Amino acid sequence: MKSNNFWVRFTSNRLPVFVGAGFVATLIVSRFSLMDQYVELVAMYVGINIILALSLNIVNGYMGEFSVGHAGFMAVGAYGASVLSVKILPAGVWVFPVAIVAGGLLAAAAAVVVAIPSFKTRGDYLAIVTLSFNMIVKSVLENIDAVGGPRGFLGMEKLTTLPWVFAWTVASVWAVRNFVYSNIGRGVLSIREDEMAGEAMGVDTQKVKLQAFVISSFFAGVAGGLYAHLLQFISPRSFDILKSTEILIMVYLGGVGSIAGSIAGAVIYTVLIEALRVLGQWRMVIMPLMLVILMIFRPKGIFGYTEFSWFKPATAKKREGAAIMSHQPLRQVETGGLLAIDGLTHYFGGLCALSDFNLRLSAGQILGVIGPNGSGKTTLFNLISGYYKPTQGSISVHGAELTRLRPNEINALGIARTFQNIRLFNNLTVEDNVKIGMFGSAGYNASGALLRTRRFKQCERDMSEHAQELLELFALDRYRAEPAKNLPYGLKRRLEIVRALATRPALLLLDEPAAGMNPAETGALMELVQRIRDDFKLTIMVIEHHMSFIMGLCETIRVLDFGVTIAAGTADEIKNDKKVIEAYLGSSGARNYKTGGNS
Amino acid sequence: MAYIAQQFLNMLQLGSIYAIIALGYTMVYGVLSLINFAHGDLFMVGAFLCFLASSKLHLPFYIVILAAAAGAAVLGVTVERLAYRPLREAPKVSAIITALGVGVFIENFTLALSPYPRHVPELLHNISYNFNGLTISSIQMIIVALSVLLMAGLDFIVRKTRYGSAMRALSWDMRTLPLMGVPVNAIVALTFAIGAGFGGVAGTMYAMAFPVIDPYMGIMIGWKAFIAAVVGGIGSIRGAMLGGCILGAVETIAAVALPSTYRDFIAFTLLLILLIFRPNGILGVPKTLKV
Repeated sequence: MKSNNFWVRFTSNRLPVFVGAGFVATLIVSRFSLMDQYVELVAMYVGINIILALSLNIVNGYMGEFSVGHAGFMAVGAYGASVLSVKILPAGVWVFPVAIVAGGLLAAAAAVVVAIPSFKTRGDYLAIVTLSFNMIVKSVLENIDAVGGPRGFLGMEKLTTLPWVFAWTVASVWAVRNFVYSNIGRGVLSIREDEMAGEAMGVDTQKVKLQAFVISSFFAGVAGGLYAHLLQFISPRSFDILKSTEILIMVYLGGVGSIAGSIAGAVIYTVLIEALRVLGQWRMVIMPLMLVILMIFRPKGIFGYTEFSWFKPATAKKREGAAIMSHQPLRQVETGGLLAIDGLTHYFGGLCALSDFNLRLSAGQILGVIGPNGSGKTTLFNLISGYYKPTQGSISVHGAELTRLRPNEINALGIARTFQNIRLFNNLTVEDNVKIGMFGSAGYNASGALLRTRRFKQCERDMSEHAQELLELFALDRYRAEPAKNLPYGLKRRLEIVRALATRPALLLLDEPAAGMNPAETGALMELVQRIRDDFKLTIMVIEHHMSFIMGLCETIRVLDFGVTIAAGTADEIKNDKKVIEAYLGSSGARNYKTGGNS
Repeated sequence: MAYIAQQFLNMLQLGSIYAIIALGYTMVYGVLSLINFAHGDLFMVGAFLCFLASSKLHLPFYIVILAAAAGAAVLGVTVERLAYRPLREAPKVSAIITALGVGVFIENFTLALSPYPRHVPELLHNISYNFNGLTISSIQMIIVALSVLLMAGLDFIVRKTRYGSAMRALSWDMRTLPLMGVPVNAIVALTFAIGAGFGGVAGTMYAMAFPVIDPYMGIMIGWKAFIAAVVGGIGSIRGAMLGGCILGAVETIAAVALPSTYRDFIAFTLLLILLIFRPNGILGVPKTLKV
């Protein structure tokens, strides 16, 4: 254990020294031609492929989307950089870096165009969008005579050298690391784990997707520029689907969601492909076969979801005696009305799931919503939190209308929720689950994260401390570094509540929090909910089937049946309501219940 | 007027080939929710089998077309058994990437065996009929007639037979279906066999109309057919037919109005625009979101 600690400290302190030494070494090697030319060429391919694999890993590995046309972005960068260096920029030493960065920026601009339709579509459709983009880029390039059309484009000087490749590779690793281990990176991960839960926790998924796409494409473009100035010849055919497949293989070979994996994948693949050169055309048969076999036997790759500690930034330590953060709602209402629902109606096709629901909820209340299965309780929650758009009616919180907003915008207005079937970010640690809840209040932006500014470090430390406090408060701190999927059932339910509290809501919606719990656990949960309401100054709406839970906890209760509100009032009023008894026991059951008879 | 009618005929011929390939995509997607990216390559294999059967074995036309369909069907079922079945429970992304890999594998395998483009001999004596300046060849008539026949047959199978109802049920719930006594693996294999068999027939029809074939031909044509399936609404059989005809029309019009090199560009742009405004295609039904 101690030696491990020493090693971590040694590498994290000496890393800049190693990198500097590496750079000097590459300078010397290329200046005095110390390396066999072929070996040097392969080394440069390795570097370029590392950048490509990192770039694709952001989208496919960390975000869990399927981009399968990454060569399209590479092509944009390659042609952009080449046209700049050959035709537009005057000669000079600064031409190369400028051309490469410009190529990256062009590819990033193309990503914006691709990202827009990708918001409308999910899953496999994104694969279609990116592949079509790949085809469109190729087709457009074939039709532009100024860059040689289908014949290709040449005239680039061989500006890509080993030191340049080394520098760009290091810069890419650094930037991707900074991006992934930041608030936005956690947003990206939440999309992979459970996009819907991410939205409910306030993650602006559209913005995060766009940022991830743009950064990923920038590096694909950079790799394209380096590639063009290494080969000194590019043609539309260099960037077809086969090239995209190559990048996919590297990512899935090395490992998804891992920087170490991207590097390993690029190195192994590049070297292997060179070693198999003797096989000629059959090499291209083995390559896709490798991909298929990998997918079947090790779909996450060698390093899937794991990381070397070198590639993780040092985590901020908790300061001793740091001030206790405020857990109270970001937006506080003084008194009176918090939530107002009027005439809320929702149809699924011809089926009326909720009809004419009205509610005034004032701050500090606990409201119970009960009703038989299928009575519209969860539909009500989904309408309030923005997953469904109501057929009719209005919902407003603090006087702001919600019905047109997306779930993350609703969360920002102070509404957080849990889910009927637990939706945690399973592969992420308990701490990261809570930190994703703080997405909206991070206090720094993408450039802050990429450059690791002082503000970034300050905000990250605050978030870590806040998360730690919340976890301690709910006795989850000893699972801080554990993946959420390993927690026992009851703690998962509790973590979901903590995660919702991390968004600092004014209104908390709990969807069957006691489902699957025994009476003792249910009792403990009741106390917990009450404590949360008092300590966090919250208003709570809770759906539950456990009658003792509802009756003991809620000041007022709503009863739904087939989407219609059949009763409202205090626990005692509900207990004796004829309609309620009928809804739960049926009309004959109700008769028996009342008379106490036995048929 | 005759010119427009002539273009309309070209459109119909191209559209029917696209539609037949699109059916293969849409059937597999409808049943397994998997985009079988290798389907275009099964079409290519169909064309190569047609080449082998006609130029090397000198078989008659109807046997050639049956051989191409059967060969492609066997390959389709094999791919399903070896590559897709192990991944049925795996995340979607694994299956999609596998499908891409299988496609590239089939292309390069064929390329390694046959590095040069091949010329398919004339399968049928082609007779051209002339009506008032409008030329109709017998090949065009056969392609369109055969396509209509196949589509009608498939529509009948899916809607009226018990195998068809098993396929439709499979797309809703793969886990429950075995409990109802339906052999899921057999139904999936049947789906792949029909889809790939259609691909093989399309390969033969394509080789009749455009006799030069090469191992990479399946990529572009396959993708176009896939666009047709998406435009019509993937998972919907009638949508695939509609999409095929629309794409055939758009491409024919584009070829008249613009240089032919812009054809692919227009087809893919059409797809992207459609995905923005109607992500589920023309006849597709939006999937409901589960919270």
